[in-house]
Amino acid sequence: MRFKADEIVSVLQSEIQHYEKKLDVREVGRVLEVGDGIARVYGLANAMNGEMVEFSRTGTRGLVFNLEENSVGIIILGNHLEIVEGDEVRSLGALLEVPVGDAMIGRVVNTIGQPLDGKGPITATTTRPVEFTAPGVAARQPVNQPLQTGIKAIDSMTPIGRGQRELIIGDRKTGKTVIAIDTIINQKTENVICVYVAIGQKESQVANVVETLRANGAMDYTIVVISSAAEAAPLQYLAPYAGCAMAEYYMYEQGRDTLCVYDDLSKQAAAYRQLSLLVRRPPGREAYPGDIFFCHSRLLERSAKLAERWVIVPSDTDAANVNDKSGVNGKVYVGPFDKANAEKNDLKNHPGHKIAKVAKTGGSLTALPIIETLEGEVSAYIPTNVISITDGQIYLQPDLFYAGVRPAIDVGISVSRVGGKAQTAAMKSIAGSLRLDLAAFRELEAFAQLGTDLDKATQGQLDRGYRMVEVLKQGQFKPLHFADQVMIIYAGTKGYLDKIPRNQVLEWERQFVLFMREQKPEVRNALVTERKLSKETEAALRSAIEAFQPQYKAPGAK
Amino acid sequence: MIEPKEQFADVSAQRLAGIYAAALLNAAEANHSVARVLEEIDSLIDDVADKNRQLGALILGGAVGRKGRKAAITKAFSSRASETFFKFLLVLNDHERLDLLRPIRRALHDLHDERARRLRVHMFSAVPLDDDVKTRILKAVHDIFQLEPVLVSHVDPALLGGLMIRIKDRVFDGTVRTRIDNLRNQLIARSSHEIQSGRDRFSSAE
Repeated sequence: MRFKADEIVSVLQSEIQHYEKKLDVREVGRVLEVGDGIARVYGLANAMNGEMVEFSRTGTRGLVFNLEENSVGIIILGNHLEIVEGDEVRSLGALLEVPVGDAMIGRVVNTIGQPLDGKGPITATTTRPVEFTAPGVAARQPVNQPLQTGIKAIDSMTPIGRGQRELIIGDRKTGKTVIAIDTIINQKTENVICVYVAIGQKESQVANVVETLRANGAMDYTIVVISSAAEAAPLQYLAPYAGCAMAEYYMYEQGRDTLCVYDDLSKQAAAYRQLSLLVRRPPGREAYPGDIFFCHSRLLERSAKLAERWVIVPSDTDAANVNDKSGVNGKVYVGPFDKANAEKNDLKNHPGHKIAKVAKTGGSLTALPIIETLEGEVSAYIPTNVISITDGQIYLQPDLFYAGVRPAIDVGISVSRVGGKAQTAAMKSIAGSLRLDLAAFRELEAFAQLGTDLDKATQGQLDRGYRMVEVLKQGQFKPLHFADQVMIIYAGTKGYLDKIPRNQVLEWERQFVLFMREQKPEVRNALVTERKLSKETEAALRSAIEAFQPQYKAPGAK
Repeated sequence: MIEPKEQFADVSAQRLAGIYAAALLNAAEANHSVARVLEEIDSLIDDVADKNRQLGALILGGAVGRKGRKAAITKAFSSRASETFFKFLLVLNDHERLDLLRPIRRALHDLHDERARRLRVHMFSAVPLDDDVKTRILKAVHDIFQLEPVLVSHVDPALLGGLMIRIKDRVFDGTVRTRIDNLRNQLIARSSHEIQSGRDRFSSAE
């Protein structure tokens, strides 16, 4: 490679020529004390909460966090060991912003958007504020589109919609992160931008996650924000807000669907507690500050399904060029109800016209916050807070995990409050009673353990239950397309697996999916396109399963 | 001269100092002895405490008990200091607050300036400025703030040239050093962005 020195010189020359000799006016203060990522500063009398400051000597940035009578508490967004007593601090009159945009995709960055992956500087031209007000009621619309996780147990029983906040909660080492990573991997064909925020985790663990995402091709649409356990508490506290801002860019400015994983918010809460105690805010329950609920609620409220905007335009208008001013009657219809009204009434007055969606509207931000419990204690302070903020939770049980049921989802207490409305019709029709059947099975199973003789019907119900539990097991990083999930669960609920030994269910499933893809693609394609289980598709599926049964080869059979 | 570093004293001490300073100034105003009290407090710190550290520790420190200090203060200041300032020292001693004397001095000067509608203007330059420049600056400050400016000059050769003015927390910086720093930061930021966003322009594969 040869460098063109004259080009580089010309850039530098033009910068020098256009340098503005303006007076540098700033408001300053002096560092009184510094430690644990926080500086107390005297001066800065007009500083505002959340305003950015700069430590003049080192160029390190900070954030005004605590306004006191005679001093200001500042979060240091960099190496706090470089700051010393007496250093000058200047206010920048701006809010904390992070770089956003396509340049961030595939990158691993820290809380303030600086690269950590050794792939060179990030050339983002756009920034967004880390703290941003959540969209109001008028700007939202109900969740109506599924976010496929690729995990059978979730997509069938606790479905997640785009724009929903679904909590993943469980003890340590129960597979919480795996669910989030599987969901990210499954977005490969779903056109969803993903942001994975790792808070207070071991760097080695995060490196594994990044490697998994890369190996599965997920870094092509994913941004990883890391604030590891080695970082100061302020950076861990801000990391989820920064990740959220990066996803918001795609939701607000590109109208795209996004997914944000916060792994995990209990560590962020601990970081915020540390921060608050250091700035001498009064401790409350479990020593958390009084505004710990707001800390999580304002983050998770930023998840939304934005209302689509519609206008009436001539029929031949290109959809990509439609904007708020394109409407022939000057009106913009916001959300599905407004649109339905317009179709019923206003459109009739404009023959030769159609209703078109304004480009880049209707984006969404789905949040998957993760909370780690201690000894299954879901009634602790932070878990109950986040449970009450989110639209449902996926609860992972250590007992199930160690019994080999993975993902170890406890279907009894896992719920999705809004996702059901976004579930595909095909999945809804076959998984409607799955949860109740499994709950009934768990009761029967407990009863059967007493050694009582069971009648044939009860034994049959038990056998079906055991197989359904096997069907819902799934390997790590192997998300399944919803059509495959529908076909497998259909076979299980209709009793096609009753004669398959329990330990062979996973093998049957593997061979069946392969068979359907290679030999009966028309059934799978019909499910993918129609997204519902019509009578014809159901009949075709049934006959396909019957055709597969004799072809199934048990492991070890010749 | 009040050292700028006195501004960075403990903030809770400063709050207390503000209260004592207001009380002292009120008492001095009532006795028409403001100028004398200001001179005395400056002299106690600059000429006594700073020049003779041991004496300073005896009067302002905690090495000697309250009674011992009271005797020392009475002996040293009863006939030399004004009545207001002498009584003030005894009050501070009774309340074990003599260690706050430096922040009190700072607060006293600030409060006095404020009541007299005066504004302390710190001016930093690489070389000593002539009186004409100082007068022009003072006039400009007076026109903007409508307060009587009190100029405190500082010479710092590291500024290289130009002038920097600090009024309370606000800094107006026109020094050569800051301009060079800004130019350097701008060059690094913009040029690296330019180079990153158009790599083909600056290098070829040959």
